Amino acid sequence: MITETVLIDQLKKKDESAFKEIVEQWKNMVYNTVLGIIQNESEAEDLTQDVFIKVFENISSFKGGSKLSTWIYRIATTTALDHLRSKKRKKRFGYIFSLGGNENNETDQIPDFLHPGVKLDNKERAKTLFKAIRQLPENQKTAYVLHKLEGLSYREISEVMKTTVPAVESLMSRANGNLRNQLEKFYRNEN
Amino acid sequence: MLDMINNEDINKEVDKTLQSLDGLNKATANPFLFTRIKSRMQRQNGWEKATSLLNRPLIAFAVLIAVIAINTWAVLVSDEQQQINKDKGGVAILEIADEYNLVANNNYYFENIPNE
Repeated sequence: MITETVLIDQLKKKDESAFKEIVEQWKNMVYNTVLGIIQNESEAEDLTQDVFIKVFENISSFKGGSKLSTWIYRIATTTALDHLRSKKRKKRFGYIFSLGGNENNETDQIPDFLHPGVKLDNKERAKTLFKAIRQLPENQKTAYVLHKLEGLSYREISEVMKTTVPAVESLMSRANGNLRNQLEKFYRNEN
Repeated sequence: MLDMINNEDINKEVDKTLQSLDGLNKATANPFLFTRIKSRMQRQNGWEKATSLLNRPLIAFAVLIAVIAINTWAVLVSDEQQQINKDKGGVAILEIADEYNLVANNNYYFENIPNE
């Protein structure tokens, strides 16, 4: 097994087998993270490709200050959040456009998302939870997804998000509070 | 009392929903991801090669000169063509006018005005 340092050196020399090794080693991690944030499987696949292309193109800027996986997680979360921002911009533009008489509201209809790894008996609840996760602010969403879907510790999340462990604890507590509020509202309206 | 039971039920539902991601299996990426990334990079490379070629000053200058030359040639040719068409058109009109004796009758009405 090639060590991480050797792998990085080889990738800096644009070695294809090193790149393949990195893709194979971290593709599920990247896909799962991006999917958790984006909540759309086909978009998540495209963005996973984007992430690895960025890894390949920017490896020379990786100084080894953190683990390679932390750096890749950072690229994955940034890419996913950028994509969400651009979708929001398009949605806003679409809304303005619709005021001008165009009836195209395609962007408004976001289908319910079901993560493929959810257990069968939790399907409906997980759908509701993902809908609530979608409403979280970016930082809270990132911390929540990395913790709940990827199983990262608060320390690991703090390294990915370039922040402190107490800051991640605070983000997680606020995320849980926001989700609880949203879910309470949802179940109250349902009754 | 009913409200309290209701609140309790709602809290239970919320707790269960928040726990619905516990024990979740990670999603797996496409097994052919690397092949797809490679082909996408090759496509990008082809386009990048073309644009980087155009970024070279010598090539860019040559392309610019070629574009200006083609434009000038197109303008000159179209002018020439217009002149030929005009000439051809003029001759044809004169021939028709001659044939029907139109030129000679131009002042017909004036010529036949009786002297006062």
